[in-house]
Amino acid sequence: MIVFSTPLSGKQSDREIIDYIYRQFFPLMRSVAARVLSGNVQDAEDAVHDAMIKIIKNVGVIDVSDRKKLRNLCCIIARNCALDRLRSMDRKNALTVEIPDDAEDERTLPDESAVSEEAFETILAAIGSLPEKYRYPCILKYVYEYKNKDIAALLGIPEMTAGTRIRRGKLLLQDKLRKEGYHE
Amino acid sequence: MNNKRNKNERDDILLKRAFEEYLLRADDSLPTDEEAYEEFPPSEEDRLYYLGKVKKRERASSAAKILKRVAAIVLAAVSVTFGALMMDENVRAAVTRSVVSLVDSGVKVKFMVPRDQDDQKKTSDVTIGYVPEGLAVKELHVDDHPNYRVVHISEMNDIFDTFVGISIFPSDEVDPGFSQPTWEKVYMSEINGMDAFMVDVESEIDGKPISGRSIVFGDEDISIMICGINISHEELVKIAENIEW
Repeated sequence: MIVFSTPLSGKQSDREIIDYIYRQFFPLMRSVAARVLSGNVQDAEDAVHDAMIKIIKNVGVIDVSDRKKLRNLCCIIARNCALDRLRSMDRKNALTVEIPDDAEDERTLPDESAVSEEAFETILAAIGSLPEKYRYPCILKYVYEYKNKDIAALLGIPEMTAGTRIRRGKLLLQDKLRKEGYHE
Repeated sequence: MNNKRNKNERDDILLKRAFEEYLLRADDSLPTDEEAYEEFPPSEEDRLYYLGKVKKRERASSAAKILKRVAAIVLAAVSVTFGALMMDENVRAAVTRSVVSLVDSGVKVKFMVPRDQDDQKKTSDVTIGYVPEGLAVKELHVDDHPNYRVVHISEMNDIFDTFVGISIFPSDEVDPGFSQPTWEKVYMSEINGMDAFMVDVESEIDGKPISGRSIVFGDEDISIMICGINISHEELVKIAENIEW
């Protein structure tokens, strides 16, 4: 039985942080990548290797104080690398990771900070229906508050592309609001 | 302009809440740590391999730090020297003339990134949403460059006391002509979430005081360069913020 430890304090060296990430999340990253890549273990290993290298290169900007957020971040990076590999292999029939995706509900929300519960559920559906290439940079921007430069490094895209995708992700959500008559 | 910024801030607050909640719910769909461990147990060999990668990176970053310090000292020396040169009125006038000539020559700016092929925008998608009162818009044809657009905003006379030139290019056009200036009054900012650099120049031509400003910004598809003569920084930024594509 593995005992999963408490979060790091944030004062560790890079080596200690990578050691922690490997021990805590490497199996999960492999599991996430394998799901994207139709269970192909070799491809999943390659994808997770790419993800670990990205994490190592950017360990200085990764916040390790919140274990849950760090866990999600590792999964995002692993999934993103798996998707990149999938695209490059041009496999159209791979499974994708099941994320609660209420995309069938296309109602949208007001863009004010105080919204009703129903409206909030609708905006979550809109986020779920965002293409991953917009959704991941937006998550890293809004949840993790990374700068565009760091988002670009973590996702393996140019910095300007990261900025463009965040902007367009936001515009796509706002477009949906506008179509439903919520956006000013 | 303030209303737009307030609205953007409100949107960002809501989006932050929404993305956080989305991520919390997405977490439920992931395998548990125990399940992942059973499926893919970690190996000591892998662990040591990745730790070895960290060591290599730490050694490389020490060398990089030394290089950065050297570069900073050199850059400081160059900036002081150039700052002293800009005290000379002839140098300042030459810089102003350069800014004006950039408008007419349609200098290309390259943002050195590969293009994202989906949702690619064209220069014809660009709209200019704000024109200062009293000024008129004129679009010029650029020979041999069908993807370029040049727009002039000025008084409806030939005096051109106030003048704004907007050059619109595809970002992946190859260009040897323009790079980020190293003048002391260049500063980085942001226009609608896109990185921008701005240049302010105060000088005089033939005894007449003149102020020139440039803003360069864009994304992977479209680059915009705006050069303004005798127009305030705030007005130029407002023009920039109301350019959309």
